[in-house]
Amino acid sequence: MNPALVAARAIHFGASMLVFGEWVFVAFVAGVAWRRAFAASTRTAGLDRHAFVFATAALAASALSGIAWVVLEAMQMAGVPIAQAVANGTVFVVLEKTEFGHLFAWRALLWLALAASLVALRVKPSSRARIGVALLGAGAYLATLAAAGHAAAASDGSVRAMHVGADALHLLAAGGWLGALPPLVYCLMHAPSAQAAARVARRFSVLGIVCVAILIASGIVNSLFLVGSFAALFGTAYGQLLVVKLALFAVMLALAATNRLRLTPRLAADNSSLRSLARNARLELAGGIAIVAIVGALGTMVPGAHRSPRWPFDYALDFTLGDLSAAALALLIACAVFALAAVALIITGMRRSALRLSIPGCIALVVLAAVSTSIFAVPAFPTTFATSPVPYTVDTVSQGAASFAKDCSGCHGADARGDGPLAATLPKKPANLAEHALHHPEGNLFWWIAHGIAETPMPAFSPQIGDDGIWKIVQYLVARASAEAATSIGPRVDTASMSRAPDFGYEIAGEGQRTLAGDRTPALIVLYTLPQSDARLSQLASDHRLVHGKVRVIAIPLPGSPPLPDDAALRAQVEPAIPTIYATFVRAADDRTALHAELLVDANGIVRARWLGVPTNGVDRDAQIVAAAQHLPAHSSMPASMHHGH
Amino acid sequence: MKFGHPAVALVGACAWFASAPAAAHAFLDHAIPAVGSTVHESPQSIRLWFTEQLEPAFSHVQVVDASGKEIDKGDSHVDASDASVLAVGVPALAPGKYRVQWRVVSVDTHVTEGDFTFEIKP
Ligand code: HEC
Repeated sequence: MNPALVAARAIHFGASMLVFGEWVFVAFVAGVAWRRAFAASTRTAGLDRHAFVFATAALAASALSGIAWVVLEAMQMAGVPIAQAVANGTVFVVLEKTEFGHLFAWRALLWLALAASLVALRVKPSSRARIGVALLGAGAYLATLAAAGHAAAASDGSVRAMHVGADALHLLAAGGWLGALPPLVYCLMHAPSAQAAARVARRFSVLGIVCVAILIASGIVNSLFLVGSFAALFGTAYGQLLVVKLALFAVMLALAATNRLRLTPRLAADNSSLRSLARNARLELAGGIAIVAIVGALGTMVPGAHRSPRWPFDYALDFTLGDLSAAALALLIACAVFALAAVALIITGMRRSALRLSIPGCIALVVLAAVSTSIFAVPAFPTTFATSPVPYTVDTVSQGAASFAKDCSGCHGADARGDGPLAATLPKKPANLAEHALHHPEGNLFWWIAHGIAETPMPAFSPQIGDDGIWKIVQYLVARASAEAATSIGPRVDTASMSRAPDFGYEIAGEGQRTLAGDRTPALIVLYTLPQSDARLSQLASDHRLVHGKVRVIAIPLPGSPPLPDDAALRAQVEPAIPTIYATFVRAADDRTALHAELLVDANGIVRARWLGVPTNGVDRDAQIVAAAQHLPAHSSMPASMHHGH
Repeated sequence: MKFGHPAVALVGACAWFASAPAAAHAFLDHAIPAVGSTVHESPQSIRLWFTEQLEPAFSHVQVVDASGKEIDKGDSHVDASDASVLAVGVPALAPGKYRVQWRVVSVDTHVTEGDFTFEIKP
């Protein structure tokens, strides 16, 4: 993390918000009549002048921090020191050639327009049209920052539009709230009468409620995109910083709620609430500044959704409602009902400023939350949500298989079915991993292998086997269980299939190398034995329906079969490990390996349909394959390991 | 940091949300020749697919041989039709080990870099 860049970003965000919030306050909170009365009755210079001075200062700060941001970004992009970035024109390359640079060039124009509109407004402060223009300009200046963030990089157009849109709303709502706090404090401190103060305070809290609602909704959308899961929220640096931000936000909300529910109603009667109100607004502002500093840092970090999370708790929540018992469901509903009552109690308590109501309400809410969450709790480990740093390929699977044969098969059996020669001597039966492996998160398999299972014969293998070595064993277990799952897959598309095909590279003469996963299209893996498969292979080579159906055909000889001759159309060169691993995917239910089999693999690498043996006379298998291919799910950027799991 | 009870993990009783396709830093998704693979014929170009779109002005890839000498055609470029693909041409390569080194800037300005090897074995 580059502290100068974080600071430049934070100042730029904060300053852009202040400019916008100032005019939101002038336009929506302090109306023209209010401002006139205010100016006439106070000895200060009046809100119009305050707003102008404040907004001008913020605009200047945003210009300086914006320039610093562009220069720092140029240094980082080109990987050069500052002198070089400025002297040899890297900054101009950034402005001219990158999306970030284009955005900032446009924002510089917006900045000029905004500055002009501020001057115009200063000349005629009561013009609604001029306030509107300044508000619009400041809004555009702030909202365009959304395109400078992580949101802008989504490769999918509609995802990008949604994410940038949510981000822009988030910025506007934050600016409308935070940026309006300084003029609010100013008005409260200098208000001519308690009634006048009460009026702005009331109007401000309406603005606050609208902004908070937008902040929450757009914030949820943003974190779905950037964090994606509770695992990433609690288990990555990005997520944890976001938790801090949310905590600050909660404190600000509590302050705002006190202002709204407790202090504002009392204003007219009691002048001391005015000071508390102003103090709370200042505290809100301090919280807001801390949040903006965090935002400055978050934008430079790798979002949680892209990091392998380290889970900090002993339990995780598994919200699969299907697994809940009727009793648990009843308990959940009861909790929801009591929670509503508790919320009512808290609100009443705040209104009447009766702590004897709100404190028990809060306690009840926390207890109910704990009870209802514990229903969903399952044990978890630091690596439960980790994603494997080792890819799922034939290569890693065969290396994992070699380790398994050496270190595990004695207990778990050569085929990982829990029936090794030592199994009978053990006080506890080794698990049938060929069945279980797909039903546990991969991170749990990793943890059990690395650290063993307490009070069972399952030993710990870390550090004798390094982390990568253990992940390779996990990949082998996934392949082993996938092969086992494939035995129940037939010629009809299996929409619930969890059987994952390990990735591999193959070469077809003249076409260079391709990989199973890289093409992101469905593939028919034909595992053949010559000469039994001869007729079927020549049928496949001459039938263009599969090509038109966008199904690649990859022909692989099973172990023991010679490969196709060099000049055969379907001839593909593959590494010897591929037939060995894939032979395990073509076993029948009685464990016998077929001599010929065809696997239809979707664009995400999941085995969806399977044919054993060559087609019998009169069966048009290619028609079946083309029909099945129509029903395959499209490529998704979700890793295949997330298509199933807890 | 460890906590004894799941309640600390509460963020409301909303469903476990699935990981959405998100943006951020450009990570290498896959490459041809595949990372760490062995191929029989020399490729004509090296292509790298990233998890997000790249800034052409600041994204480069080069190929070096076992002695560390750059052997690509020096035409490293971001694909005109798919901004998440980086490619470089290579002459007919002799059998041996090669290393591909890349440094890219994603459209949201983040820098990532890395390298991998492939081998040609007739
Ligand atoms: C000394 C015998 C023994 C050896 C060696 C052994 N295991 Fe185990 N393993 C067990 C037993 C017994 C259990 C069942 C523990 C239980 O019931 O909780 C088990 C459980 C497991 C589990 C948990 C499965 C589940 O569904 O709960 C995994 C994963 C596992 N072993 C993997 C391995 C791997 C991989 C190796 C080799 C690196 C290995 N084991 C070596 C005896 C052994």
